[in-house]
Amino acid sequence: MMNENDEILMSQLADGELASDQTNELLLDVLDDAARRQKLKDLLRLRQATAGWRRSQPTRPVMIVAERPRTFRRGLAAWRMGSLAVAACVGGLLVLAGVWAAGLMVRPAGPAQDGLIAQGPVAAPSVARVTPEQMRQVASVFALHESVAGPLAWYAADDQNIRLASARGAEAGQQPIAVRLKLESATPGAPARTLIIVCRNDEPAVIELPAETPDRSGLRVYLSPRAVNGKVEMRYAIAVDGQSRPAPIDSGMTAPFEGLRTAPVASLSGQRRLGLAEAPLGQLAMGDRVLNIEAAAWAMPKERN
Amino acid sequence: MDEPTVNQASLAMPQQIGLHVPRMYRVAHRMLADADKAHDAVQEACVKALASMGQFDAQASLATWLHRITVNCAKDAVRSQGRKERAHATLQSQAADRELPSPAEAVETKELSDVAWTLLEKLPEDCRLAFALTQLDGYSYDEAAEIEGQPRGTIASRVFRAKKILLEQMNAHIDGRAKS
Repeated sequence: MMNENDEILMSQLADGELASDQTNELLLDVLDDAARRQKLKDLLRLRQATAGWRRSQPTRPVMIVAERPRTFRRGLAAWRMGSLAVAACVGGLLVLAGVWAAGLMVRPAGPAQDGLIAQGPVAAPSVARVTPEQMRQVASVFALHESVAGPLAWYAADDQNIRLASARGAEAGQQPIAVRLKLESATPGAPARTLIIVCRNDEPAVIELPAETPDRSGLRVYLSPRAVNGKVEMRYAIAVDGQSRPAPIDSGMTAPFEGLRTAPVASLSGQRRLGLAEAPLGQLAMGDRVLNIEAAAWAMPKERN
Repeated sequence: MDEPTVNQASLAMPQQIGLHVPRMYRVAHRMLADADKAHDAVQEACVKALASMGQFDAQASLATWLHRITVNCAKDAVRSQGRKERAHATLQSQAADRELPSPAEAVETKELSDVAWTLLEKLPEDCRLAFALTQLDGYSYDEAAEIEGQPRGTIASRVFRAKKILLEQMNAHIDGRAKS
Protein backbone atom coordinates (compact mmCIF):
# COMPACT_ATOMS: atom_id res chain seq x y z
CA MET A 1 0.00 0.00 0.00
CA MET A 2 1.43 3.34 -1.04
CA ASN A 3 1.43 6.23 1.34
CA GLU A 4 0.75 9.75 0.17
CA ASN A 5 4.40 10.74 0.20
CA ASP A 6 5.18 7.93 -2.23
CA GLU A 7 2.37 9.07 -4.47
CA ILE A 8 3.56 12.66 -4.40
CA LEU A 9 7.00 11.43 -5.40
CA MET A 10 5.48 9.47 -8.28
CA SER A 11 3.57 12.56 -9.34
CA GLN A 12 6.83 14.50 -9.44
CA LEU A 13 8.47 11.65 -11.32
CA ALA A 14 5.81 11.88 -14.01
CA ASP A 15 6.44 15.62 -14.24
CA GLY A 16 10.20 15.20 -14.54
CA GLU A 17 10.73 17.07 -11.30
CA LEU A 18 12.95 14.57 -9.52
CA ALA A 19 16.73 14.48 -9.60
CA SER A 20 18.30 11.79 -11.72
CA ASP A 21 19.35 9.47 -8.90
CA GLN A 22 16.00 9.84 -7.15
CA THR A 23 14.26 9.04 -10.43
CA ASN A 24 16.30 5.86 -10.90
CA GLU A 25 15.67 4.71 -7.36
CA LEU A 26 11.94 5.26 -7.62
CA LEU A 27 11.70 3.64 -11.04
CA LEU A 28 13.43 0.51 -9.76
CA ASP A 29 10.84 0.25 -7.01
CA VAL A 30 7.93 0.96 -9.31
CA LEU A 31 8.93 -1.57 -11.95
CA ASP A 32 8.73 -4.38 -9.41
CA ASP A 33 5.23 -3.49 -8.25
CA ALA A 34 2.23 -3.91 -10.54
CA ALA A 35 -0.01 -1.52 -8.60
CA ARG A 36 2.59 1.22 -8.61
CA ARG A 37 3.33 0.61 -12.28
CA GLN A 38 -0.33 1.21 -13.05
CA LYS A 39 -0.36 4.29 -10.88
CA LEU A 40 2.66 5.71 -12.69
CA LYS A 41 1.08 4.87 -16.02
CA ASP A 42 -2.05 6.82 -15.06
CA LEU A 43 0.03 9.78 -13.98
CA LEU A 44 2.01 9.70 -17.21
CA ARG A 45 -1.15 9.55 -19.30
CA LEU A 46 -2.56 12.51 -17.44
CA ARG A 47 0.69 14.34 -18.10
CA GLN A 48 0.42 13.36 -21.76
CA ALA A 49 -3.13 14.64 -21.95
CA THR A 50 -1.87 18.17 -21.30
CA ALA A 51 1.32 17.97 -23.39
CA GLY A 52 -0.26 19.65 -26.39
CA TRP A 53 -1.16 22.64 -24.32
CA ARG A 54 2.34 22.94 -22.89
CA ARG A 55 3.77 22.99 -26.40
CA SER A 56 1.45 25.69 -27.66
CA GLN A 57 3.06 28.81 -29.05
CA PRO A 58 1.77 32.21 -30.04
CA THR A 59 0.07 32.02 -33.40
CA ARG A 60 2.21 34.89 -34.65
CA PRO A 61 5.39 36.52 -33.39
CA VAL A 62 5.14 38.72 -30.34
CA MET A 63 7.06 41.93 -30.68
CA ILE A 64 9.05 42.87 -27.67
CA VAL A 65 8.67 46.57 -27.91
CA ALA A 66 9.12 49.39 -25.46
CA GLU A 67 6.61 51.45 -27.40
CA ARG A 68 4.63 50.31 -30.33
CA PRO A 69 6.51 51.76 -33.26
CA ARG A 70 4.80 53.44 -36.14
CA THR A 71 5.47 50.43 -38.30
CA PHE A 72 3.57 48.12 -35.97
CA ARG A 73 0.13 48.38 -37.47
CA ARG A 74 1.43 48.06 -40.95
CA GLY A 75 3.40 45.00 -39.91
CA LEU A 76 0.41 43.43 -38.23
CA ALA A 77 -1.68 43.92 -41.30
CA ALA A 78 0.98 42.33 -43.40
CA TRP A 79 1.08 39.33 -41.08
CA ARG A 80 -2.58 38.82 -41.51
CA MET A 81 -2.51 39.32 -45.22
CA GLY A 82 0.48 37.40 -46.31
CA SER A 83 2.76 34.55 -45.60
CA LEU A 84 5.60 36.78 -44.60
CA ALA A 85 5.81 37.58 -40.95
CA VAL A 86 6.61 41.23 -40.58
CA ALA A 87 7.73 42.54 -37.29
CA ALA A 88 9.13 45.71 -35.87
CA CYS A 89 10.80 44.23 -32.84
CA VAL A 90 12.33 47.02 -30.89
CA GLY A 91 13.80 44.45 -28.55
CA GLY A 92 15.93 43.27 -31.39
CA LEU A 93 16.35 46.79 -32.56
CA LEU A 94 17.60 47.85 -29.17
CA VAL A 95 20.26 45.22 -29.38
CA LEU A 96 21.03 46.06 -32.95
CA ALA A 97 21.04 49.73 -32.11
CA GLY A 98 23.62 48.87 -29.50
CA VAL A 99 25.56 47.05 -32.15
CA TRP A 100 25.40 50.02 -34.42
CA ALA A 101 26.05 52.56 -31.72
CA ALA A 102 29.12 50.65 -30.68
CA GLY A 103 30.11 50.60 -34.30
CA LEU A 104 29.24 47.24 -35.79
CA MET A 105 32.31 47.61 -37.81
CA VAL A 106 35.51 48.58 -36.18
CA ARG A 107 37.52 50.84 -38.35
CA PRO A 108 41.21 50.71 -37.54
CA ALA A 109 42.76 53.97 -36.54
CA GLY A 110 44.00 55.71 -39.59
CA PRO A 111 44.16 59.07 -41.14
CA ALA A 112 40.43 59.67 -40.62
CA GLN A 113 40.21 60.77 -37.02
CA ASP A 114 38.22 63.17 -34.91
CA GLY A 115 35.57 63.46 -37.58
CA LEU A 116 38.05 64.73 -40.13
CA ILE A 117 38.21 62.84 -43.36
CA ALA A 118 41.69 62.58 -44.68
CA GLN A 119 41.99 63.33 -48.33
CA GLY A 120 44.62 63.14 -50.97
CA PRO A 121 47.03 60.46 -52.04
CA VAL A 122 48.49 59.92 -48.59
CA ALA A 123 45.16 58.79 -47.11
CA ALA A 124 45.25 55.06 -46.45
CA PRO A 125 41.93 53.30 -46.94
CA SER A 126 40.25 52.22 -43.73
CA VAL A 127 38.54 48.86 -43.87
CA ALA A 128 35.74 48.05 -41.47
CA ARG A 129 35.63 44.62 -39.88
CA VAL A 130 33.03 42.74 -37.90
CA THR A 131 34.24 41.83 -34.42
CA PRO A 132 33.53 38.50 -32.64
CA GLU A 133 31.37 40.31 -30.07
CA GLN A 134 29.25 41.84 -32.81
CA MET A 135 28.88 38.43 -34.44
CA ARG A 136 27.65 37.05 -31.13
CA GLN A 137 25.15 39.89 -30.81
CA VAL A 138 23.72 39.25 -34.25
CA ALA A 139 23.51 35.54 -33.44
CA SER A 140 21.67 36.34 -30.20
CA VAL A 141 19.16 38.57 -31.95
CA PHE A 142 18.53 35.94 -34.61
CA ALA A 143 18.16 33.24 -31.95
CA LEU A 144 15.72 35.44 -30.08
CA HIS A 145 13.51 35.87 -33.10
CA GLU A 146 13.61 32.18 -33.86
CA SER A 147 12.68 31.41 -30.28
CA VAL A 148 9.60 33.54 -30.70
CA ALA A 149 8.68 33.02 -34.34
CA GLY A 150 10.06 29.55 -35.01
CA PRO A 151 12.65 28.68 -37.67
CA LEU A 152 13.26 31.56 -40.05
CA ALA A 153 14.14 31.53 -43.73
CA TRP A 154 15.54 35.00 -43.38
CA TYR A 155 15.58 37.97 -41.08
CA ALA A 156 16.32 41.57 -42.01
CA ALA A 157 16.51 44.64 -39.83
CA ASP A 158 17.54 48.21 -40.05
CA ASP A 159 17.14 50.82 -37.36
CA GLN A 160 13.46 51.29 -38.19
CA ASN A 161 11.94 47.93 -38.76
CA ILE A 162 12.42 44.22 -38.86
CA ARG A 163 11.13 41.76 -41.39
CA LEU A 164 11.30 38.05 -41.23
CA ALA A 165 10.04 35.03 -43.09
CA SER A 166 9.31 31.62 -41.71
CA ALA A 167 11.40 28.72 -42.96
CA ARG A 168 9.73 26.08 -45.05
CA GLY A 169 10.95 22.53 -45.38
CA ALA A 170 14.69 22.15 -45.65
CA GLU A 171 15.45 25.84 -45.22
CA ALA A 172 15.51 25.55 -41.46
CA GLY A 173 18.33 23.01 -41.62
CA GLN A 174 20.61 25.23 -43.67
CA GLN A 175 23.39 27.15 -42.04
CA PRO A 176 22.49 30.77 -41.29
CA ILE A 177 24.56 33.40 -43.06
CA ALA A 178 24.75 36.91 -41.66
CA VAL A 179 25.17 39.89 -43.95
CA ARG A 180 25.80 43.48 -43.03
CA LEU A 181 24.71 45.71 -45.88
CA LYS A 182 25.42 49.42 -45.89
CA LEU A 183 23.95 51.96 -48.27
CA GLU A 184 25.78 55.20 -47.95
CA SER A 185 25.37 58.33 -49.96
CA ALA A 186 28.56 59.41 -51.64
CA THR A 187 27.71 62.89 -50.41
CA PRO A 188 29.74 63.51 -47.23
CA GLY A 189 27.61 63.80 -44.12
CA ALA A 190 24.56 62.07 -45.51
CA PRO A 191 23.22 59.33 -43.21
CA ALA A 192 23.92 55.72 -44.14
CA ARG A 193 21.30 53.02 -44.06
CA THR A 194 22.58 49.81 -42.53
CA LEU A 195 20.86 46.47 -42.65
CA ILE A 196 21.57 43.30 -40.77
CA ILE A 197 20.33 40.33 -42.74
CA VAL A 198 20.46 36.69 -41.77
CA CYS A 199 19.54 34.27 -44.53
CA ARG A 200 20.30 30.62 -45.25
CA ASN A 201 23.19 28.99 -47.04
CA ASP A 202 22.25 28.00 -50.60
CA GLU A 203 18.76 29.45 -50.18
CA PRO A 204 18.00 32.62 -52.11
CA ALA A 205 16.21 35.30 -50.11
CA VAL A 206 14.18 38.13 -51.55
CA ILE A 207 13.68 40.88 -49.03
CA GLU A 208 11.69 44.06 -49.37
CA LEU A 209 11.95 46.91 -46.95
CA PRO A 210 9.59 49.81 -47.52
CA ALA A 211 10.49 53.45 -47.22
CA GLU A 212 9.56 54.40 -43.70
CA THR A 213 10.32 58.06 -43.82
CA PRO A 214 10.33 60.62 -46.62
CA ASP A 215 14.09 60.76 -46.62
CA ARG A 216 14.40 57.03 -47.13
CA SER A 217 13.98 54.78 -50.11
CA GLY A 218 12.27 51.48 -50.49
CA LEU A 219 14.72 48.67 -50.86
CA ARG A 220 14.60 45.26 -52.49
CA VAL A 221 17.43 42.84 -51.90
CA TYR A 222 18.05 39.46 -53.48
CA LEU A 223 20.76 37.43 -51.81
CA SER A 224 21.95 33.95 -52.62
CA PRO A 225 24.83 33.05 -50.28
CA ARG A 226 27.09 30.03 -50.21
CA ALA A 227 29.65 29.49 -47.47
CA VAL A 228 33.01 28.52 -48.95
CA ASN A 229 36.18 28.05 -46.92
CA GLY A 230 35.33 30.57 -44.25
CA LYS A 231 34.06 33.15 -46.75
CA VAL A 232 30.67 33.71 -48.27
CA GLU A 233 30.24 33.55 -52.02
CA MET A 234 27.36 35.96 -52.52
CA ARG A 235 25.20 36.50 -55.57
CA TYR A 236 23.19 39.63 -55.10
CA ALA A 237 20.80 42.06 -56.68
CA ILE A 238 19.82 45.27 -54.97
CA ALA A 239 17.18 47.74 -56.10
CA VAL A 240 16.42 51.05 -54.48
CA ASP A 241 13.34 52.97 -55.47
CA GLY A 242 13.37 56.70 -55.47
CA GLN A 243 9.70 57.35 -54.93
CA SER A 244 10.45 58.99 -51.66
CA ARG A 245 12.80 61.45 -53.21
CA PRO A 246 11.30 63.28 -56.15
CA ALA A 247 13.63 64.71 -58.70
CA PRO A 248 14.36 68.40 -58.30
CA ILE A 249 11.88 70.56 -60.14
CA ASP A 250 14.65 72.34 -61.93
CA SER A 251 16.45 69.14 -62.85
CA GLY A 252 15.71 69.76 -66.48
CA MET A 253 14.12 66.40 -67.12
CA THR A 254 12.51 66.15 -70.46
CA ALA A 255 9.28 64.32 -71.19
CA PRO A 256 10.73 60.82 -71.78
CA PHE A 257 12.18 60.88 -68.29
CA GLU A 258 9.11 62.18 -66.55
CA GLY A 259 8.13 58.67 -65.50
CA LEU A 260 11.36 58.31 -63.62
CA ARG A 261 10.37 61.17 -61.43
CA THR A 262 7.54 59.19 -59.88
CA ALA A 263 9.12 55.76 -59.66
CA PRO A 264 12.78 55.74 -60.46
CA VAL A 265 14.52 52.51 -59.57
CA ALA A 266 18.24 52.02 -59.42
CA SER A 267 19.63 48.55 -59.26
CA LEU A 268 22.85 46.63 -59.30
CA SER A 269 23.67 42.96 -59.29
CA GLY A 270 26.74 40.80 -59.20
CA GLN A 271 28.66 38.15 -57.36
CA ARG A 272 31.38 38.65 -54.79
CA ARG A 273 33.25 36.72 -52.15
CA LEU A 274 32.58 38.39 -48.82
CA GLY A 275 34.23 38.10 -45.44
CA LEU A 276 34.31 39.98 -42.17
CA ALA A 277 35.96 42.96 -43.82
CA GLU A 278 33.54 45.32 -45.49
CA ALA A 279 33.76 45.16 -49.27
CA PRO A 280 32.16 47.34 -51.94
CA LEU A 281 29.40 45.76 -54.01
CA GLY A 282 29.02 48.69 -56.32
CA GLN A 283 27.29 52.01 -56.69
CA LEU A 284 23.74 53.03 -57.47
CA ALA A 285 23.10 56.23 -59.37
CA MET A 286 19.82 57.86 -58.45
CA GLY A 287 19.14 61.15 -60.11
CA ASP A 288 21.63 63.57 -58.71
CA ARG A 289 23.10 61.30 -56.08
CA VAL A 290 25.16 58.16 -55.82
CA LEU A 291 24.83 55.43 -53.24
CA ASN A 292 27.81 53.32 -52.27
CA ILE A 293 26.81 49.76 -51.38
CA GLU A 294 29.15 47.84 -49.10
CA ALA A 295 28.77 44.49 -47.40
CA ALA A 296 30.38 42.05 -45.03
CA ALA A 297 29.17 38.51 -44.46
CA TRP A 298 29.93 35.55 -42.28
CA ALA A 299 28.59 32.06 -41.68
CA MET A 300 26.92 31.74 -38.30
CA PRO A 301 27.14 28.58 -36.21
CA LYS A 302 24.27 26.20 -36.84
CA GLU A 303 21.51 26.40 -34.26
CA ARG A 304 21.30 23.75 -31.62
CA ASN A 305 18.28 21.50 -31.88
CA MET B 1 11.99 22.91 -26.26
CA ASP B 2 10.63 26.33 -25.59
CA GLU B 3 11.79 27.17 -22.12
CA PRO B 4 14.77 29.40 -21.43
CA THR B 5 17.93 27.41 -21.98
CA VAL B 6 20.58 29.98 -22.74
CA ASN B 7 22.78 31.85 -20.38
CA GLN B 8 20.36 34.61 -19.55
CA ALA B 9 22.91 36.67 -17.72
CA SER B 10 24.60 37.34 -21.02
CA LEU B 11 21.46 38.51 -22.77
CA ALA B 12 19.79 41.85 -22.84
CA MET B 13 16.41 42.26 -21.21
CA PRO B 14 14.33 42.14 -24.39
CA GLN B 15 15.98 38.89 -25.32
CA GLN B 16 15.36 37.44 -21.89
CA ILE B 17 11.72 38.41 -22.10
CA GLY B 18 11.52 36.79 -25.52
CA LEU B 19 12.52 33.47 -24.03
CA HIS B 20 9.52 33.59 -21.70
CA VAL B 21 6.97 34.56 -24.32
CA PRO B 22 5.65 31.03 -25.01
CA ARG B 23 4.77 30.52 -21.36
CA MET B 24 3.31 33.99 -21.06
CA TYR B 25 1.17 33.16 -24.05
CA ARG B 26 -0.06 29.92 -22.49
CA VAL B 27 -1.00 31.73 -19.29
CA ALA B 28 -2.92 34.37 -21.21
CA HIS B 29 -4.51 31.81 -23.51
CA ARG B 30 -5.67 29.75 -20.55
CA MET B 31 -7.24 32.81 -18.97
CA LEU B 32 -8.74 34.34 -22.10
CA ALA B 33 -9.60 31.25 -24.15
CA ASP B 34 -8.79 33.11 -27.34
CA ALA B 35 -5.51 32.92 -29.25
CA ASP B 36 -5.68 36.45 -30.69
CA LYS B 37 -6.63 38.04 -27.41
CA ALA B 38 -3.92 36.05 -25.68
CA HIS B 39 -1.42 37.35 -28.20
CA ASP B 40 -2.55 40.91 -27.56
CA ALA B 41 -2.31 40.42 -23.80
CA VAL B 42 1.23 39.07 -24.11
CA GLN B 43 2.12 41.91 -26.43
CA GLU B 44 0.83 44.34 -23.83
CA ALA B 45 2.71 42.50 -21.08
CA CYS B 46 5.95 42.80 -23.04
CA VAL B 47 5.41 46.52 -23.49
CA LYS B 48 4.75 46.93 -19.77
CA ALA B 49 7.70 44.75 -18.81
CA LEU B 50 10.08 46.77 -20.92
CA ALA B 51 8.60 50.04 -19.70
CA SER B 52 9.07 49.02 -16.08
CA MET B 53 12.42 47.29 -16.41
CA GLY B 54 13.77 49.61 -13.74
CA GLN B 55 11.37 48.12 -11.20
CA PHE B 56 12.57 44.58 -11.79
CA ASP B 57 14.58 43.27 -8.89
CA ALA B 58 17.49 41.40 -10.40
CA GLN B 59 17.47 39.05 -7.40
CA ALA B 60 13.94 37.95 -8.20
CA SER B 61 12.92 35.50 -10.87
CA LEU B 62 12.16 37.00 -14.23
CA ALA B 63 9.65 34.20 -14.81
CA THR B 64 7.68 35.23 -11.73
CA TRP B 65 7.78 38.90 -12.59
CA LEU B 66 6.64 38.33 -16.15
CA HIS B 67 3.94 35.93 -14.99
CA ARG B 68 2.46 38.59 -12.73
CA ILE B 69 2.49 41.18 -15.49
CA THR B 70 0.90 38.71 -17.90
CA VAL B 71 -1.82 37.71 -15.44
CA ASN B 72 -2.61 41.36 -14.79
CA CYS B 73 -2.79 42.12 -18.52
CA ALA B 74 -5.03 39.10 -19.08
CA LYS B 75 -7.26 40.14 -16.19
CA ASP B 76 -7.50 43.62 -17.67
CA ALA B 77 -8.52 42.06 -20.96
CA VAL B 78 -11.10 39.90 -19.22
CA ARG B 79 -12.51 42.93 -17.43
CA SER B 80 -12.55 45.08 -20.52
CA GLN B 81 -14.49 42.45 -22.39
CA GLY B 82 -16.85 41.72 -19.55
CA ARG B 83 -15.76 38.13 -19.65
CA LYS B 84 -15.48 35.77 -16.79
CA GLU B 85 -12.07 34.42 -16.09
CA ARG B 86 -13.29 30.85 -15.95
CA ALA B 87 -12.72 30.08 -19.58
CA HIS B 88 -11.29 26.60 -19.31
CA ALA B 89 -14.32 24.84 -20.66
CA THR B 90 -14.14 26.62 -23.97
CA LEU B 91 -10.57 25.47 -24.33
CA GLN B 92 -11.42 21.80 -24.47
CA SER B 93 -11.42 21.34 -28.20
CA GLN B 94 -8.41 23.60 -28.69
CA ALA B 95 -6.37 21.70 -26.14
CA ALA B 96 -7.34 18.32 -27.48
CA ASP B 97 -6.51 19.09 -31.08
CA ARG B 98 -2.82 19.00 -30.44
CA GLU B 99 -0.20 16.53 -31.55
CA LEU B 100 -1.14 13.06 -30.39
CA PRO B 101 0.79 9.80 -30.34
CA SER B 102 -1.17 7.28 -32.44
CA PRO B 103 -4.73 6.98 -33.73
CA ALA B 104 -5.85 4.52 -31.03
CA GLU B 105 -4.12 6.36 -28.23
CA ALA B 106 -5.13 9.64 -29.71
CA VAL B 107 -8.81 8.95 -29.34
CA GLU B 108 -8.37 7.92 -25.75
CA THR B 109 -5.99 10.73 -24.93
CA LYS B 110 -8.30 13.25 -26.52
CA GLU B 111 -11.17 11.93 -24.49
CA LEU B 112 -9.09 12.06 -21.32
CA SER B 113 -8.00 15.54 -22.21
CA ASP B 114 -11.60 16.65 -22.72
CA VAL B 115 -12.63 15.11 -19.44
CA ALA B 116 -9.66 16.68 -17.67
CA TRP B 117 -10.53 20.12 -18.98
CA THR B 118 -14.13 19.74 -17.88
CA LEU B 119 -13.12 18.56 -14.45
CA LEU B 120 -10.49 21.21 -13.99
CA GLU B 121 -13.12 23.74 -13.07
CA LYS B 122 -14.27 21.57 -10.22
CA LEU B 123 -10.90 21.37 -8.51
CA PRO B 124 -10.27 23.31 -5.31
CA GLU B 125 -8.83 26.71 -6.17
CA ASP B 126 -5.36 26.10 -4.70
CA CYS B 127 -5.01 22.74 -6.46
CA ARG B 128 -6.33 24.12 -9.74
CA LEU B 129 -3.81 26.96 -9.82
CA ALA B 130 -0.87 24.70 -8.97
CA PHE B 131 -2.02 22.22 -11.60
CA ALA B 132 -2.48 24.92 -14.24
CA LEU B 133 0.92 26.47 -13.60
CA THR B 134 2.84 23.21 -13.77
CA GLN B 135 0.80 21.09 -16.18
CA LEU B 136 -0.59 23.67 -18.59
CA ASP B 137 1.63 26.73 -18.49
CA GLY B 138 4.85 24.75 -18.24
CA TYR B 139 6.36 26.25 -15.09
CA SER B 140 8.61 24.10 -12.96
CA TYR B 141 7.58 23.34 -9.39
CA ASP B 142 10.18 25.81 -8.17
CA GLU B 143 8.84 28.57 -10.39
CA ALA B 144 5.26 27.78 -9.42
CA ALA B 145 6.30 27.93 -5.77
CA GLU B 146 7.75 31.38 -6.28
CA ILE B 147 4.72 32.57 -8.22
CA GLU B 148 2.35 31.39 -5.52
CA GLY B 149 4.64 32.30 -2.64
CA GLN B 150 4.45 28.78 -1.24
CA PRO B 151 7.09 26.15 -0.45
CA ARG B 152 7.91 23.73 -3.23
CA GLY B 153 6.55 20.86 -1.17
CA THR B 154 3.18 22.57 -0.93
CA ILE B 155 3.05 22.93 -4.70
CA ALA B 156 4.00 19.27 -5.16
CA SER B 157 1.26 18.26 -2.76
CA ARG B 158 -1.36 20.45 -4.44
CA VAL B 159 -0.42 19.20 -7.87
CA PHE B 160 -0.69 15.64 -6.67
CA ARG B 161 -4.10 16.27 -5.08
CA ALA B 162 -5.33 17.81 -8.30
CA LYS B 163 -4.08 14.84 -10.29
CA LYS B 164 -5.63 12.41 -7.84
CA ILE B 165 -9.04 14.06 -8.15
CA LEU B 166 -8.76 14.24 -11.92
CA LEU B 167 -7.64 10.61 -12.23
CA GLU B 168 -10.44 9.38 -10.01
CA GLN B 169 -12.99 11.31 -12.02
CA MET B 170 -11.48 10.24 -15.30
CA ASN B 171 -11.38 6.60 -14.28
CA ALA B 172 -14.99 6.84 -13.16
CA HIS B 173 -15.81 8.33 -16.54
CA ILE B 174 -14.01 5.52 -18.35
CA ASP B 175 -15.68 2.85 -16.19
CA GLY B 176 -19.07 4.42 -16.78
CA ARG B 177 -18.44 4.39 -20.51
CA ALA B 178 -17.37 0.72 -20.40
CA LYS B 179 -20.54 -0.28 -18.56
CA SER B 180 -22.77 1.58 -20.97
